[in-house]
Amino acid sequence: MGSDRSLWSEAWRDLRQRRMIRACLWGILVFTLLAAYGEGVYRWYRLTDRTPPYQQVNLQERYLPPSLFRQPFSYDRAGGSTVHLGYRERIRKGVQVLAHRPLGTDNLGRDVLQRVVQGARIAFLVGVVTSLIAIPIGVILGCLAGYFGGWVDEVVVWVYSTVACMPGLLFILAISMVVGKGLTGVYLGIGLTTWVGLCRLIRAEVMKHRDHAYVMAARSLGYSPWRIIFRHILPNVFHIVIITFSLRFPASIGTEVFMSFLGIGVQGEPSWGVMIGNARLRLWQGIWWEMTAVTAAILIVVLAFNLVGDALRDALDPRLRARDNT
Amino acid sequence: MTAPLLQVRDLKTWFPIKRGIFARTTGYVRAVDGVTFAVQAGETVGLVGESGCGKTTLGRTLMGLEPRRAGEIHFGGTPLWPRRHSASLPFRRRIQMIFQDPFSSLNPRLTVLDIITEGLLEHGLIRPRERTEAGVRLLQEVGMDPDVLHRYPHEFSGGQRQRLSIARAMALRPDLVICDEPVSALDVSVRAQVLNLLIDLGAAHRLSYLFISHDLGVIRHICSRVIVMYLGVVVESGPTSGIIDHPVHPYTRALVSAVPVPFGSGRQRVILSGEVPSAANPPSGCRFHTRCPYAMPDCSRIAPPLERFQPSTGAAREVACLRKHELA
Repeated sequence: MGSDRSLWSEAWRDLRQRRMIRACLWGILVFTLLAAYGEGVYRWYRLTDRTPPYQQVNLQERYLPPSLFRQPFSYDRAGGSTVHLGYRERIRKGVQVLAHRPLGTDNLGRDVLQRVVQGARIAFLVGVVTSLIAIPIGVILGCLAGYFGGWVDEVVVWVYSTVACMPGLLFILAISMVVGKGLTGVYLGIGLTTWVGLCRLIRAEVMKHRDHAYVMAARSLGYSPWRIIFRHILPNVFHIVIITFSLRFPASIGTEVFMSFLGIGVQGEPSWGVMIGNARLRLWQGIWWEMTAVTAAILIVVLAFNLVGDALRDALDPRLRARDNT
Repeated sequence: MTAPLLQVRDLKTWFPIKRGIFARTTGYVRAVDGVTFAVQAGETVGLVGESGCGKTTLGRTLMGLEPRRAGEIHFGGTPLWPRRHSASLPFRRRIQMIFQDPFSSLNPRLTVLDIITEGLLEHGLIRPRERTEAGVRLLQEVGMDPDVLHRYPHEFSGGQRQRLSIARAMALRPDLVICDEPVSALDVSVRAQVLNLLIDLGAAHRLSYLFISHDLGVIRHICSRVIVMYLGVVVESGPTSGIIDHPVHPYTRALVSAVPVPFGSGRQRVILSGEVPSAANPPSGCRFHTRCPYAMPDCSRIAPPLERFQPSTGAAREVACLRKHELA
């Protein structure tokens, strides 16, 4: 079998056949849906000009542990004993307790689960928007440098070497200082610093394809350079973009968490980094659930994306495929 | 005689050799080093020589795929290639190329329809809705089943792929087709079919071919004239049968004697010793003198010009050899 239209469908089949990868794909789907739900909640409450539930301060319910740890079948929501009640009544009250603040509350009595979902929304946005900034830059510059060579290549290599030799975090800090704290700074900071790796890969791959006979044929048919680059070569190197996307997504989430933790990231909204920064202060008091919920969420998302990204690389990389193909 | 379709004068293609951290050019690989020839309209010219003698580079330079260092290419009286992309388009239509490797010359991500009709669309020769029709016509022309329009290149065999490359090149109705070893990557069993297809198309559309090959059998089958290259220069050129039956230049003799003959006809083989010298540092004088069985001291000093020559037996031709009168 060759490696053409079937490349994608075969890769997809490979991925689905592996149980771990299937679980990861489900995880990513759930993450996406939660992010969409979070976006919906966020927009709805902004539209109706009310305080969203994840921001509602409830000082009576500070430091509520996750519902499983509140002995749901012995005590009701107000803390009254349900031991004397009948079997059915105890279960009913117990379920009510389980559904109430399932992951507990933080120092201001805000619901941790709702805040984790909002964090997923921010993480998803960061992953997507930074990719939308970084991938076009990397792809376009890489294609131009690889195809034209000469001074174009030298300029591009100079630019990306300059960006790459600055410590990424300093660059991100500088950008967020310029555009101000907040999501815009996060987007631009991460987006403008993480295109270098992709640009290098695309440049090298385009250089390789430039000398293939099909590109020679396209040139001798008189196609314009743009047509050759974007219609003939790019589809042949596009798997690199997919792989890069799935691997840089978790990295940018991690960077956002770190920036928010430092206080230059998301402002006034519960991102995962903000929550970690908040939870850290009371971890020593034994308030472990906020930290646990957030780190578990990050772990699952990052792990799922990384595993899928690695599997995609295995499935789409022609050098790895060549062995069982020909 | 009318002006030739393609006239090449003193064409040189040198590749710089870069060394060191500042990529200084320390020398040149003289892949094509002063080649002059002409192709008449409707004529099929063979270009023959062993690997590394510059045949493919010459073909690519003629297509404008490699930058040339010196010399002129005239096509129908107009110098090629214009610097501007738009100005070169009319010539792109009239000169096409068929590549050696049918496996890398078709884009694996495009369907047959895209591959063979994209050129027509790009040059504005058909409208988008006439695409399928044009594709079917082209496939029929190269003897393929029109059902394959929406398949991808990997689904075809080498011979079929080469038919697709031919269809792609013929789509624009060119006047000249440069065939860079179009059958050398194919099985012997399908070679003849592809060659006959090329001959038929050539006759039907009054095409000129520049047929690059290292296979004299193929050249004899298809070409009326042959040019023999060695290390970037032409050593002998003239009518195919005349040259193959009565070669004059010692290199041509060696090439001809290397063609396998059934049942050992008792012909004497000329066996060349050594490898082709490096084109980065070609021998002085006659480039062939290091391997020539007839070399004499002058050969390493004087580069013989390509001159018109009428041997006692065989057709008139052009030969670049100091001892041609003795050897003929």
